[in-house]
Amino acid sequence: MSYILNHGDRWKARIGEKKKVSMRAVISLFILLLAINLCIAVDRSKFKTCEQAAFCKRHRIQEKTADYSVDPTSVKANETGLQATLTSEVNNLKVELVLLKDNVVRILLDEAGTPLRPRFQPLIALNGTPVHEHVIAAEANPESASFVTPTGFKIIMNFKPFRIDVFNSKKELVISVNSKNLLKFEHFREKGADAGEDGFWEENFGGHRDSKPFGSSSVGLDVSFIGFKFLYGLPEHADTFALKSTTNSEPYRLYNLDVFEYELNNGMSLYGAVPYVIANNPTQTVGAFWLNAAETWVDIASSTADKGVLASIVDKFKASKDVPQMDAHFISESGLAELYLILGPKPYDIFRQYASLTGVYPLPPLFSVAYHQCRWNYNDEDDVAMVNAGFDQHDIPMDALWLDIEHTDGKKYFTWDPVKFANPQKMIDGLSSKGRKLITISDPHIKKDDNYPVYKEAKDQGYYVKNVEGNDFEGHCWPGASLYLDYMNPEVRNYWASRYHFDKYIGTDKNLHVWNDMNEPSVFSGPEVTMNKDARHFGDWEHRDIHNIYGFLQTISTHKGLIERADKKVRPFILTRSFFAGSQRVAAVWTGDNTADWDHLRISIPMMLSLSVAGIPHVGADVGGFFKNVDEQLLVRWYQMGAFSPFFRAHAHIDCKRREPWLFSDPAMNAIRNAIRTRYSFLPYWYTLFYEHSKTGLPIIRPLWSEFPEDEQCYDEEREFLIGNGLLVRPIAEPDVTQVSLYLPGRRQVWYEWNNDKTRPSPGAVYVDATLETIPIFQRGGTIIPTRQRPRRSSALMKNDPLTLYVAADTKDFANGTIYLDDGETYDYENGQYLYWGFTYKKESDFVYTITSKNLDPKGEFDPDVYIEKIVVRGVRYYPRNVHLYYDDYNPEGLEFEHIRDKHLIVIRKPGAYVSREWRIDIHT
Amino acid sequence: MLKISTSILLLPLLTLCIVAEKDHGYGNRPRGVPLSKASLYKEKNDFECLDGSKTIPYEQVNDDYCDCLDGTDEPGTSACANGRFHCINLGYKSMDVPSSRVNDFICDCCDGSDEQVEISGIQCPNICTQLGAKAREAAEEHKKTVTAGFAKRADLAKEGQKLVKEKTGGVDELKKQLETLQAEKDEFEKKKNAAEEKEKAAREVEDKVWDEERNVKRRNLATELFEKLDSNKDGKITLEDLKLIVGLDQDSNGEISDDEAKNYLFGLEELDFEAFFEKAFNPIRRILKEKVVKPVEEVLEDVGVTEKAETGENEGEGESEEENLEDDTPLETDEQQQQQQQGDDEDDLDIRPPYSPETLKIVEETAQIRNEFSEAVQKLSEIESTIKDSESFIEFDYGPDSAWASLKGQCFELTENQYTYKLCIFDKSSQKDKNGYSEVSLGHWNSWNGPENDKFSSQKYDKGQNCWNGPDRSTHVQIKCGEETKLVEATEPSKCEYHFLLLSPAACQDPAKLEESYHSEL
Repeated sequence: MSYILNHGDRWKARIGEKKKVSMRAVISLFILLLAINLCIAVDRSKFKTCEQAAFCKRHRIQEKTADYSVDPTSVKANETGLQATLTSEVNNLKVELVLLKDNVVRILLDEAGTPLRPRFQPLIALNGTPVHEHVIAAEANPESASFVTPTGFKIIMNFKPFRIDVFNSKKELVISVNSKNLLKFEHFREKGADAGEDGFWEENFGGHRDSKPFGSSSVGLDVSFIGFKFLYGLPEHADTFALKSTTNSEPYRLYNLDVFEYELNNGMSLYGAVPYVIANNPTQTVGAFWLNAAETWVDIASSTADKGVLASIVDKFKASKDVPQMDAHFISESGLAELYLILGPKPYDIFRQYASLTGVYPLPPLFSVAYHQCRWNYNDEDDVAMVNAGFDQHDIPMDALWLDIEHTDGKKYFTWDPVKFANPQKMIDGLSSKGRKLITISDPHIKKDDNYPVYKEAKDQGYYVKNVEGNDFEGHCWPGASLYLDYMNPEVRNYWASRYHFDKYIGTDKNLHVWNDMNEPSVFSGPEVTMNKDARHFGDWEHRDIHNIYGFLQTISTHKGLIERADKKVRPFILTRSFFAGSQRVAAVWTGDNTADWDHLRISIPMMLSLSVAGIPHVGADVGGFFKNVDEQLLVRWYQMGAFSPFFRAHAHIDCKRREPWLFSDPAMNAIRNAIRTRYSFLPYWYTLFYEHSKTGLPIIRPLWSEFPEDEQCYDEEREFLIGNGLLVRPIAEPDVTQVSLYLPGRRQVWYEWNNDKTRPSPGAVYVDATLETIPIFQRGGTIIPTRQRPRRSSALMKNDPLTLYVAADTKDFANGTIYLDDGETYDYENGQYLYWGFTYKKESDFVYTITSKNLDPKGEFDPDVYIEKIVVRGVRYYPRNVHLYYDDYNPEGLEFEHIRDKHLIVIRKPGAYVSREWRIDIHT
Repeated sequence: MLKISTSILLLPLLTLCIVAEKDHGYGNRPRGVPLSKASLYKEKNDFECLDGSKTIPYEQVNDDYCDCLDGTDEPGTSACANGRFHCINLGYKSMDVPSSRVNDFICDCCDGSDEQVEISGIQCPNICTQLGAKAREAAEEHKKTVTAGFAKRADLAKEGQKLVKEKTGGVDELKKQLETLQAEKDEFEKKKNAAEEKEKAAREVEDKVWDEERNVKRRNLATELFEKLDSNKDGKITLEDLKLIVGLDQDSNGEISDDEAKNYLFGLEELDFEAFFEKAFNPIRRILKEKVVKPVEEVLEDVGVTEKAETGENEGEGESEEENLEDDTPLETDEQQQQQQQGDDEDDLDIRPPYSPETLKIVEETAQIRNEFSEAVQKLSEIESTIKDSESFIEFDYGPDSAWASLKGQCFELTENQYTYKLCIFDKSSQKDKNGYSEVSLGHWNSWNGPENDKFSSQKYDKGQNCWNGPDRSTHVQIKCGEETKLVEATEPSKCEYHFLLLSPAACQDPAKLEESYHSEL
């Protein structure tokens, strides 16, 4: 790297030497410098472009389309959908449309007749088998067949050309499948009988040969979203939140890869993949989920509907002549063409619908929502003890300390370095005595070493992925020569799970949780730093068929192990780098190996939002940036970002200087402490949001449009975001900022500046202070947010602390909010040991305003000694005379309060009301 | 509903009971208040927050609600995020802990006062007596070390001061010597210059004569060669003449091309004697001379134009003449020998005969004087460097009593797992792999870098070997009092940033001072 930099310097020096440099020379030098700079970031030549992936190229530019049409005689209707045969000059397909519960339609395309090989379907992504729904009013005529959903959506299958149109209950066309006629389905062929096109039977890239013994079996399908200008989703890419048109660039690529020093603002693959696109406009939100685990490319185009083939249909239903349209073209290397249309109609609906398909993130242990301290690597047990003590000494809360690969004995996972980590249990005890946890890493590559029992056992059992010749696949990773467990095999998943049992993972207890890294899988010696596509998995699948779920399968196994080891009593926490749709059921995700620069800080918001709307809510970026040394200002800002990220972990590369907060100047350390304490004060709110996600599928952090879909101003907003529905945060991701302008969304909303209670109307831009210690945060009028204002060393120590409620009145003097509490650690909540209560503030009359608490879930029986110690009411435009607390209607208790007129605040002192009791507070004016 | 109300009512009651029941030695002042601040918490008065920002009824002190911005109304609860709780820890050290440590299920104070069993459910044992005993034991132990170390420090200091004095004193003495020597050197220099002038003059006279002789000789040789080459004796050398000279076959392809021959006409059509003498004589002579390495016969053949038998003879004569010249060359001086060696490669015509005995005598005398001068210069620079060494020794800060002076340059080693670490005081720090790879520099002496009031508690060594993808290696040496100077700890908290712990008597403070702080603590 430094070598390349020197080149740059030399070029600069030369520019200086030459007295007369032509403009052209300057420009070309500039381009050269630019190119050199790019080299520093990522070695692009290691990774394929669409042009270099034979199947992608064939689908993207089709000189001759297949032109499928429905054979009208083949159409069959049943209670839940339609079936038919598609014919074309190339091959025949069968299509199946099924209506699923809660406004979802599944379209499944497969080869007609008996294919030479089965196609892989990554059903593991689904949270069980989707429940079918009865259709209403199925119809067929010579041109088309259709049915209506209980919510009034009409699905029409047009016969010639084959096309599926979806109309919403207002009879507006919202989705059209195959309207671009790009459906292409490469059927399996006999080798030798068919020469195939270029790259059909063999491909080479970067010195690696893909032997393709079964030839190509790629699939591709286009989906148009009519009336939409904005698409979102498709994580994981280091790119803008709103998807960009790829007409003049590379398509978005979904192929889980370990990309060293990834570059920003492009559609290159990263560590994980969720092939799910969301379209949003002021009246309709829909999604399209392409269930395919093979390498996938997605072209995005924006156009105007009336200029395309849909002009006639659109004209029938839309008054406007100029209907915007977004197209997504999914292209996968193998597998089925399986598309789930998620029909909304509102953002909350699609979050729920997608979650019912792929599952939710189950309630995590509370500690995992708090602050995590990581580094590659904490050197030894003394170092761990020192850092553990350092946080207490500097009065900074911390919940989990992490050990990267160096803690093992020679990168053999589930072992400990015999010198540096000789007494792991004692180390864990040291942490858990402060309510803290230890998290260790275990990666899927297994060191090739006969003295390593895991290696030996797995080898003897035949648990490794095989190469195309049928021998164990071998690649290079951290330990050197390594083998890769084949998690496709349920027996292997059980074996891996059992590695976490306390009698197998010696020196651990329930206070140890797990980090699964390098699970794309990363193979240093492999093509594109991953496994060869012709490697073979259990069930006779090729690696190409299952690639994108490899990491997901590992985390499923880990999750199983962590639950089993503690007799299904303790909730596990797992962090994964690689993921697929459904990964949220078992793991949290971080955005991988980022870099300590402002652009990476900035990109963390769109990256987190993309994951969040795609169903993976517990997400975050490495605070401080993984690669390179971080300066103080950037670190402070990153902590502020982290404090409002669902997953909040500081991390650093082994080559970086130490970064524990106390190693910086006092102002910086204080700002970091404040940021972390702010996180801890909001923990009751975060935890409640996690609970609510597990019930509703709503993301924890949300794009503005998810709460304000009618506000088109905020559709491409990615500098600010919402936490739940009540907090808006605009973390500072620009250097040397002391003030910042931001947009407050919604119509006739009121927002309260958290730090000074200032009232701000919306919509509109505001200019607020953003000095180094300040995080611009706003509370939305109409919400009540529970907090805890006693900063402890760790979240576990806060379990009995009283709550402070922040009530923010809306324009109608109304607000409500919720709180969820349980022991933060076990599964006892599944047996009623939880509480879920609601608070409501409202104007009863001109003379009385009330705050009431109500049990929202009587099945919750948790009854902790937690009471309300303070209530702050924001937006008070009356003069309170007295405040009374009622447990019943007869015995009011007078409460002290303070009315701060210039800030429109009432602070009610020490109501003392228990959170698990019904009560009412009357404010008399 | 009834049950609910009672438990709600219990809350303030409980708090009151707790304060009354277990005072942990706070007497009449509120829980968590140190004796020094007792007067600020008077039950009869309203309470004024210690920052003066607010006055609240006394009942609101320690009522588990934070009223004061500075947190001073809740010294005994966890209500204020910025509050402090004072534990008395009778029998051990009293201390202040952040209010967040109160009732957080963890025993922080040795008297257990930070946890109230009624609230957190944690009954903390009072372990102050044991801790006190242990602390006294440790303090005794520490005192022993410090006492012994401090005594040794006195020795180190004595030794160090002596060293410093020697170096300082020595410098003055040497500086005096330096003056004398300087004068002597100047004297020699004058003499030397005069002698060299004289030598130069004598040589010049003889050199002039030789120059003239040489010119004549050269012209003769040129004439001889010219005649040999001028095969048709027309007084001109032409292309054809040159093509007959085998020695000019530069590419050794057996024939002399026009191009090869043309080089020696130097752009002219032909060469008359003057042109030949000026331009071609030297190069052609040199070319022909190169062939001398071959056996004489061959040379003769090469040079000889077959039709002209006598040319070989001539050349042979030339050869013997050269040999004679060489034989006669005197070897009196190095200078001349050098000249001769060069002459071999260049032109033997430059080799001159020896100077006259008178001149040689002058040369010899001059050499003598020059020797004496350079001896004086050497002596001077030796003394100068000794002075410089001493001065740089004195430049280091050896502490107020110079105790560190005697440790300068001493090296201490520590072997930990795979590596042996080495610290050479005021010099460098290094690391060596057990498997015997070469030493890696972990830094060179930079400075003392302890805090302002304790400067001599740490040293910094930096600009060591560069780390791949990282900084130059550096070492931070923390120094603590010990009976012996030894390296006891070496870690690498950050990649390529090392941390050593060195024990040394030089860091031991007066135990009398220790006594004071010990008494004030316990």
